Amino acid sequence: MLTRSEITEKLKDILLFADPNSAEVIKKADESSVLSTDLGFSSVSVLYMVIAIEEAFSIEFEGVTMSDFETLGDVITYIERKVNK
Amino acid sequence: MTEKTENHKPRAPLFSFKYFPMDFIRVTGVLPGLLWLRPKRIYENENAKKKISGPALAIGNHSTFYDPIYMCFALWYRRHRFVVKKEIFESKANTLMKLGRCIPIDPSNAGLDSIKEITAALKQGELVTLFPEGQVTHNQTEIQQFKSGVVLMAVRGKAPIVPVYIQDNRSFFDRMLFVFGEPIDIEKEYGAMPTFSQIDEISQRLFLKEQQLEQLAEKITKA
Repeated sequence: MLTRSEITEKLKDILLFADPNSAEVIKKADESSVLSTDLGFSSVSVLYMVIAIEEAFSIEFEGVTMSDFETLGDVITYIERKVNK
Repeated sequence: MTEKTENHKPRAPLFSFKYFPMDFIRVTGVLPGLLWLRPKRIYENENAKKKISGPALAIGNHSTFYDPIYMCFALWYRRHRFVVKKEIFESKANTLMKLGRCIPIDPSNAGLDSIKEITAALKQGELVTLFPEGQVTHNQTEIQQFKSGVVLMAVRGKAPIVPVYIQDNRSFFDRMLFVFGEPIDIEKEYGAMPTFSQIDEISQRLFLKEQQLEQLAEKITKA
């Protein structure tokens, strides 16, 4: 059982590893941060994040499209639902 | 890669009913085509000469609609899983696409489902073939910038990327020319999960490699 804040921290670790050049932005990001504008994610970056999340949390993204995740909060909610199923 | 790892690479089975349509095309179309066109094969270096075994992602330039057929000639000894545009997959050719076990993709926004299907194919030891320019360029322009999703596919499927250049600006009776680049093993060079900037770097490297292979082809043609 993972809490929302634990998921957020783990997710930020993934993003910090993936994009060390944007470390400041990622550290300041919160659940309302928009992936495409605030974090500067492209569609490939979002796919990368999904792949890394699947491996780090041992979950599988099913029945979703990349457009379902607009903010960091959307991603955290999905992980929370999957991890604590 | 050590010899032990080579031996543990997943291999697609030699025969399965699901491969029958592709094998039928290979025997009835590709073999006579090879005899007719007698394509020339040029290799960038000694490493590029090694036969591709196990999972691999073959990429090529996409100047005509016939490129998938040409790729079958280039890597004739392997079955191909072609990645095709979603619109083509869903067109009247749908049955043919399904029989050929093609994988649909939206080039403007590669979805998770496509990546998963490609990864699954690679993990079963198959050869996945795609054209990372994302569209047919009709010989009107130079090679277009590559979509970086191709790198993610190789990373997830733990497969090397094999660059191939197809030279098709020739008359019907000329021999075709294929130029093979040295396979790029991302895991070996960048680790299991490269960073965003490394993904962009690899994508750019593949694009430059394809340009180098094109120059090599032109040099050989002029000579």
